[in-house]
Amino acid sequence: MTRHSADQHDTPQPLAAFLAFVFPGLGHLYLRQRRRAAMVALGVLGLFVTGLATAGIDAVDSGGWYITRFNRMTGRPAPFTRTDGDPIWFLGEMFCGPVAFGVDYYHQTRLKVLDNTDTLRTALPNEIRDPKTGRPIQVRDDENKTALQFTDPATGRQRLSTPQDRPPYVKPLARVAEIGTLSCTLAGMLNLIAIIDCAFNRRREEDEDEGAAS
Amino acid sequence: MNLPLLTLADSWRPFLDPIDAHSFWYLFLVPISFFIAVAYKAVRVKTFKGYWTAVAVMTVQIVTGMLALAVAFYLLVQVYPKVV
Repeated sequence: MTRHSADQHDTPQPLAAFLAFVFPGLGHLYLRQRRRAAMVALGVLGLFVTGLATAGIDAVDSGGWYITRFNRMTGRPAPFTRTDGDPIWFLGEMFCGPVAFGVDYYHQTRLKVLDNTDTLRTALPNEIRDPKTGRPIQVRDDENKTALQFTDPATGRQRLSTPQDRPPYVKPLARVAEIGTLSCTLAGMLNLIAIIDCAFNRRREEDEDEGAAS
Repeated sequence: MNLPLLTLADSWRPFLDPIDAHSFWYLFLVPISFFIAVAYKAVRVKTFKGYWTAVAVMTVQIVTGMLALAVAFYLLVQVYPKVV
């Protein structure tokens, strides 16, 4: 990483903007604004982690639209025809970059279930997920919660379900769900501000301050 | 065999399950406001002299503003219809 000359401060910095998208704070780090980079990372990732810790992984749920788009582009069949999720909120969250896409991809491909109607959805409270096929397996009766016999995907044997047989995650409800989704979306929106700030870097005097401090 | 209904408190899995914060959800306004202020002031200030003071002021401004909005909406929804 080279020291930037003074005239670079008034020129657009697309690489810095791209790096800011790749990881919160990385763009400012590229522009040699270490303290600013650390604070951007703290603020953005703090919000993102707060959202995930509050509402669980369901706070980031694109519905997998980019997976379908990618499959169409590459000529592969769509893995599902219908999906749940919050794609509008993900439009804000995605500006956290690969962090948000990674969390969402894990959510869509490792935690959600693909039911018989080819709908990608959250597993219901009485279902578990077959890790090989991604299909839901009913392990308790919906009405009285009675344990059911099912084929354990891990062993291939029939057995009665236990309380440990749970869905991969629990869907948040009400205010907790709202706070989690809002927090992750705010993280993305703030990182968008940081991306724009990197793209039009204008801080010569501040850089000198940082240089003097370091 | 009847199984008890699974509750969040039974076996909470961090970052997978939601926390049981339905009785104190509004307290999350404080950390969210703080992190917003940290990131926003990081790109807003020219120098980092007095940065944390600016962050504290902005955090208080957001929290106060939200409380003011809550009071205003309470008055509009609960009190105003009785007066009119």
